[in-house]
Amino acid sequence: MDMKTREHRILLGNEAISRGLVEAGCQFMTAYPGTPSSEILPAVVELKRELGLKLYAEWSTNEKVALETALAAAYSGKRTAVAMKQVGLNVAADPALSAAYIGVAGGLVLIVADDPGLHSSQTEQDSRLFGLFSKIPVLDPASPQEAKDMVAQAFELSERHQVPVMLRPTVRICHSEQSVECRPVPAPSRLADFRKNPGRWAATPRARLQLHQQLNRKLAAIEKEFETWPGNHAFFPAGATQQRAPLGIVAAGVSHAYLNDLLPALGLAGQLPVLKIATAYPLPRTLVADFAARCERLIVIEETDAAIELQIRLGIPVWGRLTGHVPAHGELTPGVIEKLLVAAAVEAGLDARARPANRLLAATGALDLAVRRPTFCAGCGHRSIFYSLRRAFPDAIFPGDIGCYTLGLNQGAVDTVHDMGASISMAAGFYHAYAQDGQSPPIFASIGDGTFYHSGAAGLENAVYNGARFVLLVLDNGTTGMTGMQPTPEFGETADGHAGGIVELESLIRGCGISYLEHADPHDLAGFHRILLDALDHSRAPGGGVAVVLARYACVTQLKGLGTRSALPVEVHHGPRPHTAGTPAALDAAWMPRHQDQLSPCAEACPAGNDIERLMSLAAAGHWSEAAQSLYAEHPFPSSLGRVCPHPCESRCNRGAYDGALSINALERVAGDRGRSAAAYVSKPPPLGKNVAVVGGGPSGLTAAYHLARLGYGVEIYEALPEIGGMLRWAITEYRLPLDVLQRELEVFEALGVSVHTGVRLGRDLAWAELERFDAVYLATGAWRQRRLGIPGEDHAGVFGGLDYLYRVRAGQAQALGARVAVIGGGNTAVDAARSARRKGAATVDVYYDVLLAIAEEVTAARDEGIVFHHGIVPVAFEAGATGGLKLLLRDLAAPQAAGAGGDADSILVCIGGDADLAYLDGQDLARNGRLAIDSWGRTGQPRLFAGGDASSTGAGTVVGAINGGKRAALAIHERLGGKALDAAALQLAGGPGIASANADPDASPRAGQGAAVPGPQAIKLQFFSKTPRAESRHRAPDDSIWNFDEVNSGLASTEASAEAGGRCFHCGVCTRCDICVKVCPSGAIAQIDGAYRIDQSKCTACRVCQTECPRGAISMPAAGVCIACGYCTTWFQCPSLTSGADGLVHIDRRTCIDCGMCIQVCAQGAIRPRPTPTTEAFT
Amino acid sequence: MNCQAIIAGVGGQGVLFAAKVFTEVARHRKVPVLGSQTFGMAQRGGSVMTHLKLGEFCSPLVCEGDADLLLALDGVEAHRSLHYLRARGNGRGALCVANVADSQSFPDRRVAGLLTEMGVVVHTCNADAAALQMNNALAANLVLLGFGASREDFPFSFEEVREATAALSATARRSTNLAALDRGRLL
Repeated sequence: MDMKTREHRILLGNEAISRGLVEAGCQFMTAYPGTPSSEILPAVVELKRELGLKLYAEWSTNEKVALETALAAAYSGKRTAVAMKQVGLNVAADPALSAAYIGVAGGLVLIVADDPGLHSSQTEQDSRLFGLFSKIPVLDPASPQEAKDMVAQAFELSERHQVPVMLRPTVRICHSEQSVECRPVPAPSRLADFRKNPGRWAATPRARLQLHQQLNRKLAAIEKEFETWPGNHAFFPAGATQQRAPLGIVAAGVSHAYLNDLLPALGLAGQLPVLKIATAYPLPRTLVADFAARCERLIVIEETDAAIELQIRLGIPVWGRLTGHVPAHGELTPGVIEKLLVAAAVEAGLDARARPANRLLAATGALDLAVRRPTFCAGCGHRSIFYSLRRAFPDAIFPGDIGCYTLGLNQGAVDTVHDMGASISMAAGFYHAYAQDGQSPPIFASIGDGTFYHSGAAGLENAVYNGARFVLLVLDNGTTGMTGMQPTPEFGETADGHAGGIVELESLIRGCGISYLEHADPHDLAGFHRILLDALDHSRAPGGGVAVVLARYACVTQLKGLGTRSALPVEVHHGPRPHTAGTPAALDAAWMPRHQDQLSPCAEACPAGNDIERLMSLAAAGHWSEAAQSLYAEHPFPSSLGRVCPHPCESRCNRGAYDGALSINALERVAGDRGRSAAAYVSKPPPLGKNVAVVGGGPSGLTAAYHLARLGYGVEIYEALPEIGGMLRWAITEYRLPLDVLQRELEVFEALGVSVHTGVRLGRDLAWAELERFDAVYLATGAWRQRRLGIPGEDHAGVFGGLDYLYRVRAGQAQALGARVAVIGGGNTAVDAARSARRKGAATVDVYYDVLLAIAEEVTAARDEGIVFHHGIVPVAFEAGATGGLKLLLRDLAAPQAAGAGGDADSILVCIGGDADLAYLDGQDLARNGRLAIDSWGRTGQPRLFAGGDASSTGAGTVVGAINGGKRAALAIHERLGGKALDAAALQLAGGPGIASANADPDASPRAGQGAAVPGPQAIKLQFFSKTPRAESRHRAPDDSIWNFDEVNSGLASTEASAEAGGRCFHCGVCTRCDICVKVCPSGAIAQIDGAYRIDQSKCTACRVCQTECPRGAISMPAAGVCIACGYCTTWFQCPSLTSGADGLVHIDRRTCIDCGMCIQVCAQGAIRPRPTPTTEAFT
Repeated sequence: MNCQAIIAGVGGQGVLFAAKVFTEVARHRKVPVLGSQTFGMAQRGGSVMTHLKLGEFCSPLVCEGDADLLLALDGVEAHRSLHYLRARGNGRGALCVANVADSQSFPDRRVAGLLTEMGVVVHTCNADAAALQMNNALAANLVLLGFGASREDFPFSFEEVREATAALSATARRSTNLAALDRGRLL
């Protein structure tokens, strides 16, 4: 080679081809990237820039359109090139076959790069055989230089015969470098000149037949040309005689180049005839026959398949792939050729000897070197996606696609890889195959943005059309990453950098008929997980279909090229580990995971001690009878409480801030109503022989009586009013709590044998002395004495006490109030009184209050009924009105100095609460400040006397508060009369967490007594729960409800209640056997045995993932905060920047880490954390 | 001159750039070059190997047992490619220049004897550590190149390598690249 005189450049084979294209005057080029062809078009663009050429170059969106676009340019007379990889030709097969028949005007070179050995491809197909099949002439270069030379020859051939010509380099040509001779580049000058000729360009089948005939004639002429083609030549050993050589070699492509370097090493230099074939199709048969005439047999060495061998039809043996002399698969490396050549030479009777075996190969082979699989780059968003998929849905089917993200295989979240776009069509196929059998496994397909533009839309529209259901993840990193950052239609930047049109990915997806399209950030693992679950829900919901999740993030390799990196410096913390000495692999038991149910915040908040978590489980299953029974363990009033309770449980519900608290109150009501009455579940226990008197038959006294009777005490209730029930019976209105509902709950007292004495008031009808016969007395006499405002005019006729009014309404003795009613007060009594007055005919009801304490739902209902609330307005005096009725003098608390406004009313109801009437004490020293003084267990100063409810110093305020007091007193009385000590009794009797917390020191933490934590919102993994609106009870319409005392709130249907419990309850801190821990445990250490989870400590690596993944915080395990060498991150996240040494401890490889921070989220032990504020030294 | 070389490493370590330096030197010397590189999926963290043949050759791949030089950016990849090295014939032995964290770990004792017997000369350094010290972790390839080029029997002189590196470097990176080479020379 004369390198001194001509211009030589060291070029990659692909660059040499590009150089050849511009030197040959190519004006138009299209391509779709694919290894090993990807560098051809960019090199053409580079030359266009360097030389200022007038040349059109495009990255087409797939190979088919690339070829069709190029064909039109060739029809117009331009020299045109198309480049693709071998499997791309399959996509372009349709236009390619017609192109052979119809031909071209300007030259068209179809460059198809093959990949023997499959360095980066799906099949080892030989594109030369496609030439045979499609009847397109094929050139097969043996070096980058020859590839370049062949370009010009191909253009000339193409134009001479008006056929497309294929240039077929293999990977070792494309990606080999060589000093290549370069020639001047002419300025392309042809103008587009499409000459109409429908008989050819739009040929019908009949005309096509003629074109086929014509093509055959062209091929015959081309074969003739190939006989003397410069790249074809036969070599014969010097001094060869007419005697036939025992073996002749026919070689093509890079195999011929290897031969040239190998034969001398094998001692065969110049010994054998060699025929180099550069024109694989049509084969110059005369040239081959003439060569064969001087050989006894031939061996054909070619890649990738037997294209030449198949075309040789001679009377002598032809060895090759078809005869087994050449391996039928894999790359023909020099080593392979050396072996097959020696074997063939020996078989042919020649003296050939293989070189001595490579001893180093054997020695290094024994070293068992770790195989380095390709892996996602450090910081690549793809990794986070497949990590999330595998972790969240280990049982799903994952159809994958072609691109960098094929590597999702490594993380177990790619199950199929077939061809470009197949992920989508195969997901549809999997869906239909399973749906046919009534099954619906989760299916998550993944495809990149480039591949989606290439061929995703066709599959997607088909999937939508045919009703498939799966989740499609579109991994949009804005570039064609694997093949070297080619642009996509998403941003409209074209191959040579000019602005093209933008094809918005979202519009394209929606255009395929997709209604569910959500964007997701894979760098937020929890948020991403949530969207995956939501998408899966959509794909399975009635009316759902294919759900598309579009994950958009930059390609980190492209970012590195642009010189930008994220800046959240991460580090792995190392330090003393909580290991037991001697068993370094296992952690101390205290640092291992434990399944331990916690106390739900709702249950902790319930003063009545309802086991709400259990209620939810039973309600979800529709087991209402068992649900009622569980509530009866705590008190006899679920139906009543389910109607009147201010539900502090709902205020603590962890769902509150997320999408609204659960309708716990309404569920309690359904349980009470649907279950049988408590009477059905209790039985009279053996009598203990001791008796207790309960004075006051309200909720507090009744609850105490209920529990004492169940413990075996003889209980007698003394009630001053005509019936028991207290506030439930006589103050709370019937439209809130119908009488029959209450009466059903009161049946239990007869069943328990409790004696009830009604109309008996202590101190009036009952003397203290008569209580002497009881072993204990519980005073729960309530607070019925109307409290007074203490303002002028309070004694006017027409001013009534609210409690008294409510009592009269319940007793059927309500006085007429007139058309205009004013209510003073902001509590539940005030609202009850106002709404009752409205029902009794008041046209206007005005409520004046200082602070609104009533249940919010009640206030809303009252407003709906036309009742007007006046905030911060209090009366200072009542006066007789000028025209009859009353006048209220009012003061605005917000403007105390301003002159008071006035208000008119026919009646005024004063509802500012009641006081205890303790006249019955008859001088006994039991009261402080007008209430019975007690401790937190209802104990008075006298050992036999206990008290609770509104009459007591702790107060009750609400029905549920009264129930709490009654339970406490029952426990205290039990202890006093020789029963269990308080703590144990509390647990034994109630078994409910409410009692347990009531049992605690009020200053201690709420969990004291049970040793369980109360999980707050941060313990709940919200990603597992989709937002669902709270089930709201139905109410009668106000204009219907204000005419009578029928119940306004009709509650929830039992099916709605079951759905609310089953679909919305987080089951905070309580294991629901959801199996998520079993699925996420990387070492298979968790198993469900007999309904309980067992953690096999010998398998557990203490990675703590189960703790962080339990949706409801039912697994306890402290975080070590230092690397414990569990191996989780390196095994499952597989970031190349996380390396572990011999001790298993993880370190960050600063050479590759880009500080993306994902490992911080992955490490459940909290060992990987952002570095504290970087010091300045880090940057010097 | 005829020289066959293997440059081995892991995708992303800069094997391609090191190979470019070789071809640039060859271009400067007006010696024909043939070589083969790894593209595509293997670039994503897999084993990467470049073959380079300088002088009168026809084909791009080095035959196993024919290489004069192995430049390895990683210890495991060095072991994986050792069998390309030739045994000493009449002249000098083949050269192996490797970037390893621990010089005791390379070559593995199970192959060390064979290498000595074949006359292979081994030079190792911790180019990663040196590059990290320079706050330029990605320049380990150039540190190794500087180290190798200043050993005896390297096919090119340090000055040739330095000039080629300067010619190939983007302006913004030129001075740090050359500093990495210089650092390697001192190892």
